[in-house]
Amino acid sequence: MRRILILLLTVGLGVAACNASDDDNADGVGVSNGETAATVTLVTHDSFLVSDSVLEEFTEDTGIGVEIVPAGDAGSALSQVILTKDDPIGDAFFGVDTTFLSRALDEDIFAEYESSALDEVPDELEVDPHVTPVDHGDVCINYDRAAFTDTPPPTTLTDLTDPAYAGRLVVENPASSSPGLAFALATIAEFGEDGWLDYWEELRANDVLVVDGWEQAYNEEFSGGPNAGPRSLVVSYASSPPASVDPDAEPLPDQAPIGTVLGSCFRQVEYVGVLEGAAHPEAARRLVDFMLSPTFQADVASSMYVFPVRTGVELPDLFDRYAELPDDPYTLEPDEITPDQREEWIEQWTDAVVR
Amino acid sequence: MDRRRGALTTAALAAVPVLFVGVFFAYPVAAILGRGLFPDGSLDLGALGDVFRGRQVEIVWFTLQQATISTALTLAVGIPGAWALSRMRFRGRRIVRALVVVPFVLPTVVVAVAFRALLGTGGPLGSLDLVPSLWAILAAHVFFNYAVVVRVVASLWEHLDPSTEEAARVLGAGRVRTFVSITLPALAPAIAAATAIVFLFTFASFGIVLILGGPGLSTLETEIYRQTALFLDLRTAAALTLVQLGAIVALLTVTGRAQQRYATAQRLRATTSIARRARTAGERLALGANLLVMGVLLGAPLATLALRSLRSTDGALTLDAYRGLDEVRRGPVVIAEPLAAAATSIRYAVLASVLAVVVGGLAAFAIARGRGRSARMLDGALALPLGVSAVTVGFGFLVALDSPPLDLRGSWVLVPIAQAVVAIPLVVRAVTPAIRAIDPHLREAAAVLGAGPRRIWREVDLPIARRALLLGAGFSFAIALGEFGATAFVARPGSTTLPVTIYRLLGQPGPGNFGVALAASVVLMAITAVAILVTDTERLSF
Amino acid sequence: MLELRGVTVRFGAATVLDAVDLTVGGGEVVSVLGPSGSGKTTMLRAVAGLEPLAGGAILRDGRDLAGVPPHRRDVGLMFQDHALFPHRDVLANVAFGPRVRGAGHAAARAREMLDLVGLAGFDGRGIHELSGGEQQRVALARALAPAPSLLMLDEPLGSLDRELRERLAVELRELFTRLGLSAVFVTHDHDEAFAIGDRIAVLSDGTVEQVDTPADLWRQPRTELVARFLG
Repeated sequence: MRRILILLLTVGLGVAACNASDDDNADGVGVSNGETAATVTLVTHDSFLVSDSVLEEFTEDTGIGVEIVPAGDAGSALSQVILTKDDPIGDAFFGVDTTFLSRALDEDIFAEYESSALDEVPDELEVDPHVTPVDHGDVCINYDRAAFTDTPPPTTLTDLTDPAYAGRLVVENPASSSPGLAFALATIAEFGEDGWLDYWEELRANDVLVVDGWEQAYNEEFSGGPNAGPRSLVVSYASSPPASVDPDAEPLPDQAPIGTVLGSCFRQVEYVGVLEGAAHPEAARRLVDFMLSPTFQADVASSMYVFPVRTGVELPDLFDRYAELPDDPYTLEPDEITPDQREEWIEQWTDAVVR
Repeated sequence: MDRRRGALTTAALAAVPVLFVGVFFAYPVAAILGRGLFPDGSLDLGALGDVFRGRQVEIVWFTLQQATISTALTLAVGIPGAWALSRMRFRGRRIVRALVVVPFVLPTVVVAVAFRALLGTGGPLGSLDLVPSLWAILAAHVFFNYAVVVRVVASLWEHLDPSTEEAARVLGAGRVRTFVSITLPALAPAIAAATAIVFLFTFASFGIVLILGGPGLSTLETEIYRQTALFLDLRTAAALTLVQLGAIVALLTVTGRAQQRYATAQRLRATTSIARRARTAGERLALGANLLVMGVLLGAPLATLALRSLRSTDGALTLDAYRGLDEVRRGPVVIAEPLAAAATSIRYAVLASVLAVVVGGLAAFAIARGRGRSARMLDGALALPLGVSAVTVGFGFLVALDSPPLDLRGSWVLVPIAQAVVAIPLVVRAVTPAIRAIDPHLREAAAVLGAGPRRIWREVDLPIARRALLLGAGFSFAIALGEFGATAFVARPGSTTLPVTIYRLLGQPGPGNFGVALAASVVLMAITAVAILVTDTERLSF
Repeated sequence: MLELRGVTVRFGAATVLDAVDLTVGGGEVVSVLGPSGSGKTTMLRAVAGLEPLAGGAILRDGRDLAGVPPHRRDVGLMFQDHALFPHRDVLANVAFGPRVRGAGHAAARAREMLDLVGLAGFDGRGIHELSGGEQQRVALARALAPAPSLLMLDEPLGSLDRELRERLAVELRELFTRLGLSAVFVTHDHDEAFAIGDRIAVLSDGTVEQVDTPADLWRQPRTELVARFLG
């Protein structure tokens, strides 16, 4: 009898709570305002984060509410947008990055739109009228400063094959990890299609560890990560050093405990686009404009640990102090990274490194 | 006339589950398969040929291999465990019996994190360098499925008629001989049923292989995920899904017989239990060994998880990670709200269990009433969702449910529906034998006393099945709470669930976030355990 | 008041009851005596409506019961294995019939019946806590509670020891007389049959060999089968 009561109680609570939750359908980040005339739906990947106040400002300015629909990781989200392009699941899509751009463009999922705010963005970041750059993150090798007091840390990709750094590096599998792929692309950019696989053979000979994803590499294997693992070099982000400093520490350290190998960085740009066939294209365009606004751009660093594309935007204090950005990172043209080419490269990499 | 009305009632009972699973499983899967098999409007089975020629044969082969080894290992450890729980009476037996089930319903992400905490670098067994590897996968599989073998076999073993064994002993057979020639054959239906279930689960295992298997090891499930979600190569994904479906259907057919024999054996078993206190030193030793195995196998990963959640980066004991459960901030930004996510998960799970119990309960009644092929086919059809990739179903939703009256793509209600679809076969498994076990004389007695057919159902069938339905509800709740595949990788309007929050926290830079992910996993584990302990009662089988 | 006219029941190819004729008058107790497998239980089930007829008819007070479902037949049936509801206590079991038929005061009636069978105060007990004899009596009380005009009992004293059986047989006989019930009492034990029944029907292989008062049956067994069965 008692058990029935418990069951009924939970059912009752559940149903009651369900009704209450109808108004709250963003994961604590977006704001969906039932009173406004329109809502714009932004499809993103799971790592999309923005301060509540920022999106509220958008709604106040335009009267349009924003509904965020996270859809898995970047690749998975893009697949879903492509799959539903005849009947889009949203109005705009954020999260296509350099490695996926050619695939997105080939599938014609975006409508052309050139925001006026693009004047404030460096020209080299504008690659196609269908997409608008929003932020860039550099995938770089990070090193644990404490492990490099005797030996100097590596500075270039070639350094990593030096026996002095044997058994120190952990990388992610490009097939399953976005930073892993970016790093592989960096090696292609440096050594070319003829030489990169040889480079990886040397890395393999130098006892490189391959794991599936960033969490495992950074959180478990990296000595500068929460687990204090055995590897002191990891493929991570240029924003990891500021992230590794405790903002409440007094006094703030001179250097972040984690450093960046500036000669290993690959520049990844993230884009947003208005979806072709969207239900609210005008609202989507306003949102795209907003994502290039100073308010939004100033927020991306602290929210998503990436760097704003808009020039002259003030970075948060920690970023200012501890982030090191390369002047000349590796890049590849988006149309060099076609889906077939990517798959081929991943195949080749897997053959060379894992098998 | 009564017989025809009876058949009509059975059909009506079966209609609801068929419709539900048809709309929310068969239709989406068919839609996504259709995209792959009919890319330009005409059937293209070429991808199947590629599968059998290319490296994907290895994947199929590996899937079968790891499933077989996992099943064998689980049986090897589980059958002695079943002996301990069914033949030996000891203090705390009821609690152990209930706790044994908890790993089975834990969310994949929690288990993966727990095993990483145990076997990965920095963990107590980290020096064995077992993550990633096949061994880690096998260990996690045994962890997950131990409960299946123990509960299924124990529930039969406990009620075996002891007189046959005693007769053999009196006739001169030693302990081992008696076990091999009398007990094992009597247990065969249960062992066969358990083997089938464990094989199915390990064959279709996704999260474990994904997280603990590393880059080199992939199974059909993970490959389907990759082809569907990452590459959108629906052609290959469809071919692989067909292979998977073929394997599942074959498995269900072959083991359908085994299930039936198990059901019969359950029905014919004695009502008294033969459990008694350990008498000899040998028995005490064996009992102790089994309890130790249970403690280590099931407890170690979870204990490690809990302990790691209480440790800060410099090794001190702290509750900091738990303080972060309300809100995880990074400066001005809230990057996760685990407690809110927990509330969301519970809401969804309640709705999913209600759906699963109602639909699954109706299905169980229909299957228990029907005899022969159609009942078996319904049972098998409802079990298919266990073997089809959640990502396939999720993507199928996007493709299929996009026009009225089923324009549910943008609706949060798809999440509990997807969870219910996976929970329904488990409800059916738990409830059907309970209904079949109802003595038909009880129904007849009620009829003679004046109760019409509907009254009989309310007064006899329903109350007796209630315990099984409650267990089904508990299981559904736990499974829904921990569901990860569909909710993690498919577009979800609505609030985030706890497993997804944990997964996201794992992927965030920053030292505190990993700790909060661990703490949130412990919370998820605790809620699951409570749900099972509340709804599980001793006299229930699988 | 109960008439079986040429009742035939088949299970597949086997004929379990073969053109059985039997009448039971108002207030009369008929014992149906026969070895196991003779079709006794099937006959009771057929009267209750639980088995379809392959031939013949069953009439209550002249009315043909064909097409009438079991829950509308106004008979009481006491099952050989008692068939007590395990999920209800003693009182709920006995009160089931009156409650289902919508009678008020079902609980009071149930207590009355329990009193009658000598189980006063057993209200809250669980079924599993009862001994064989107690279960029997609860089953009897349950069958009596709706006050059926015809009561059928299937080997009601089967699982009890000799002493209890003899005592209960006498009690039952007294009860039937007191309540003025018509009853059909099935058994394989001829002492019981003789002790309880006003008339005895001997059933063998689905056919009625002889129906007579105990005295007449003893004196004049009509067939060799009957004679051998009576010992």
